[in-house]
Amino acid sequence: MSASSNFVLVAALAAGAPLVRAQQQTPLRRVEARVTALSGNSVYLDQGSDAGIEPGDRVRATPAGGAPVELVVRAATRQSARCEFVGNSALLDVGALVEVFVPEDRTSGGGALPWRYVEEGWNTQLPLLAPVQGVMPSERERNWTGRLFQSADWTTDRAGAEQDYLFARTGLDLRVDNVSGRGDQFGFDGELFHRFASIDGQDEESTVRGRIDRLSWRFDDSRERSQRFELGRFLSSEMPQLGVIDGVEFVQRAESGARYGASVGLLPSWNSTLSTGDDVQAALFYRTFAGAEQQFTAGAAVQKTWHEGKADRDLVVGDFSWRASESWRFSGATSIDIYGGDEAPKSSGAELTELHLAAFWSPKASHAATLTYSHIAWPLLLRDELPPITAATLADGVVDRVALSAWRDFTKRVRLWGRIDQWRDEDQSGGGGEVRVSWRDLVVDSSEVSAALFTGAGQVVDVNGARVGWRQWGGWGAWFATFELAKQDLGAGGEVDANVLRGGWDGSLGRDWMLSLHADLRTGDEQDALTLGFLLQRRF
Amino acid sequence: MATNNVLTLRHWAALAALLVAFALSCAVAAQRTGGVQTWWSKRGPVVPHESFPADCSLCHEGEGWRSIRADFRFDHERETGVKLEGAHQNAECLRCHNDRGPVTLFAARGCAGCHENVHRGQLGDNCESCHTQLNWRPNDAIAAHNRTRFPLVGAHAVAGCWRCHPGAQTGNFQRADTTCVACHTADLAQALNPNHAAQGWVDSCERCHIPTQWTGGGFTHSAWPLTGQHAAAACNACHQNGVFAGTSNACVDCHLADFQGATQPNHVSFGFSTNCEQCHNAAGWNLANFSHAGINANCVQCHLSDYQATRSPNHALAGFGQTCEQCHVSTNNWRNVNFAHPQFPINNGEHGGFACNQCHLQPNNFQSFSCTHCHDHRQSEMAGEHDDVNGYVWQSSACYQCHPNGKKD
Repeated sequence: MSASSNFVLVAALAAGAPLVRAQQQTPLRRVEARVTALSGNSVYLDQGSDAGIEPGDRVRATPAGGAPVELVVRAATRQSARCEFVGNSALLDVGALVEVFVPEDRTSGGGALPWRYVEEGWNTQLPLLAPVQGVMPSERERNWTGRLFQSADWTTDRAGAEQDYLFARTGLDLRVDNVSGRGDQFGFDGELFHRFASIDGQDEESTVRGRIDRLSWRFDDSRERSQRFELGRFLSSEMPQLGVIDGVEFVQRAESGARYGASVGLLPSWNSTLSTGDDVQAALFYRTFAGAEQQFTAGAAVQKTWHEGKADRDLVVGDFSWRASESWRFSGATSIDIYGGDEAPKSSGAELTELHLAAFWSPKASHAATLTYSHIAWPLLLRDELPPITAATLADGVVDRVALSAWRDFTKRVRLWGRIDQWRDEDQSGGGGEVRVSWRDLVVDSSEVSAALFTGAGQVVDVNGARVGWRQWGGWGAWFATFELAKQDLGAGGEVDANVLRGGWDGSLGRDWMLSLHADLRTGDEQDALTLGFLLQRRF
Repeated sequence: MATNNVLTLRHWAALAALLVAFALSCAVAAQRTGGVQTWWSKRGPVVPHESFPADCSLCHEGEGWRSIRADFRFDHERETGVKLEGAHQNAECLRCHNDRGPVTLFAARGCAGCHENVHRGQLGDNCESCHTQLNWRPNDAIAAHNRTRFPLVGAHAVAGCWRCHPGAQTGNFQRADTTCVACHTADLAQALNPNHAAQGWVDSCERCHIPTQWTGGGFTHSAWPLTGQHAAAACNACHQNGVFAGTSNACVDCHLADFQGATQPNHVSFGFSTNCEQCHNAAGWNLANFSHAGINANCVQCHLSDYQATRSPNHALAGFGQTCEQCHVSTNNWRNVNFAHPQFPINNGEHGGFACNQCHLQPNNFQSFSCTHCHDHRQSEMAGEHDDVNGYVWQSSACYQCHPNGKKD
């Protein structure tokens, strides 16, 4: 401590003696602290309750060249305290030494080091607000979160048969946590929607419907409870492939962390209204984890369904996810249908209905690649889940796709992105690709200019085109504009031009509101269409 | 039927109902919620703030320090190394940092760590291929559709997704059958001219149609290419009574009446083959690809109109016989003639190379001719030369009587 500091300290002690006298009903101990921050009338100190400081304690500070001033402690944490001036404030410097007078008996005494609590079970990997000491659900209050949204998309096309489409939605997603004080949750996702289609020469379609995606009550497993339970309408949390269920699901967590359970209930059709009542399902599932951070997880389930009382689908589903290293990640999902001998045109036995495999490689932040493969076949279902399909497609329809995409940053501003893919179905094969270059901050800051070339060979249409785009973002949101020029080869039907001018804006309106606007203008041969749309969302 | 008027009362009523529902919900929600970044003591204790600035007011406000300041800004990327983008920038901290477990554990799982897979695993787990972090609606689904085996063209690019993917609203985009009829069953039912269903045309629409229009364009009459006049013919000109299957490929099966009615020449009387394409093509009857091989008589049967129309010379007025082959020796060129002028030599000698009208002064009257109009036959001169000829007269017919070969002797 410098000589000047000593002088200030001694002077402060002398001058402050009367101030603390009144507090000395019990012997006081002087605790030195330093000013760490100043804000308004508040002064923050680098000592707290570990040093015996509590709200109400008196503090004495001596501004440089000024008379000592008195403060009072208003709040204290273990290693900090907030004080306020008593009377007039004074100019203190960060780092200035102050004294706090605390009752002698408040500390462990004897000059022993303050007791320090070492938190157990907490480390930097834990979330910011993890409970350092387990808090029972009953100690928590009920909490409401969710979102409301309104969206509409209108399209009018004046080429060929004139057509107009409108799709408007009003939705609510709601979660009420700790409904009963036992860690349960009430969930509701639902919407009203209006679909309108007017096509020249066809009957007009105008429907207003409602749909409930979730209406459930659930108990999540927690550190106190190893069971999870959900009742109502919900998407199976362990195996989404099982679909939305109107029923009940029970999950048991084993000591190893593995989960297993069962669900039973009605199986709503996977259509726009999730209509229910015709199908019943029962399922068993199991999921396991491996690795300290659950780097590997795999799940499997079997599901049996009945349609209007008749046995329908015997389904086996599975998935896995494996973060093999910092650079590699693999994932996959599959579903296999089991057919009996009387389910023509399907032959008896197991058929691979779906397989999705993906490998992600990202060795550095400057480049990455993704390889995906998928296999799709059409299952024989009694229930109404799939769009209309032909008998031929049901019998032998299959689509295999493989795609490789990759990107690389050549500088901090320039990125090259590319994709190639191939598909093959029961009759044909084709593929496509795209290469895109994007420059950030090329023209102005917080912007991205991109140019892309793409090609694709479909069943009846081949596409070749180019696209340029501009994105701009800032505190007010982000907008984009793209222009696409494409030649679509219809084979015997010749070539048509398809041009698209697209623009939009996404932004926040305050903390709670989000607005998204977009417009598409399609011109060219056989196209003269305009699309306008918006999404307004309020989160709470 | 569609009225092309979207401003119908029912339509606006539906929209108004949705907007009212949204407004009411917002009002209710506003009653139920406080600030976004708030904290309740009963949510559980906060992790130690030892490493945080001691000035609580840098982040918090209010009596109990439960709320984050309105102007609070936290550089998540700088402070944690994890950049928050799009909607995540404004998300409540507790949406991720809560007591369900280490946030790094969920973040490592990508989107699926927090977001429910409403596609039920059927679109893989590479969410970024369709979605961005700005909002949850795909922005450029049409362009993404180019990656499929069914790039959207024409009306398909503007149609509501639900037209082909009825479960689109619930995330069900998988397995739309790309067979045209899977979506166009109603169009098939309405296709009555011709009646597709009656013909058994219930699939493979692409054989006749193209994706941008139902009519024209892609229809290829490949089994019997429609060329020339047939290209413009109505379907029912050949496919009568709506029967398309089994239509004969033989011309005469449609054109028997034309064959029987043909008079120039009379196909029947000539005994022409009913294999029409031997002589004709689809460009038109008159552009016959007729072969004259083996025909050496009766030209006028076919060429009477040619005979009658000929003006130089006018065959009819000149009294030419209708035995064309007497003069015309080529079936390829009328002008290739073998014309004999037996009454008077014109192929050589002093009269060789004369044009017809040098002697036949009356147009189209080849019976009449003149010798005397020539300067070599002036009357005074001829009278002198013929003063020893008994009965001489200065007339062309008299000239010819004595000089049938055009010579003095």
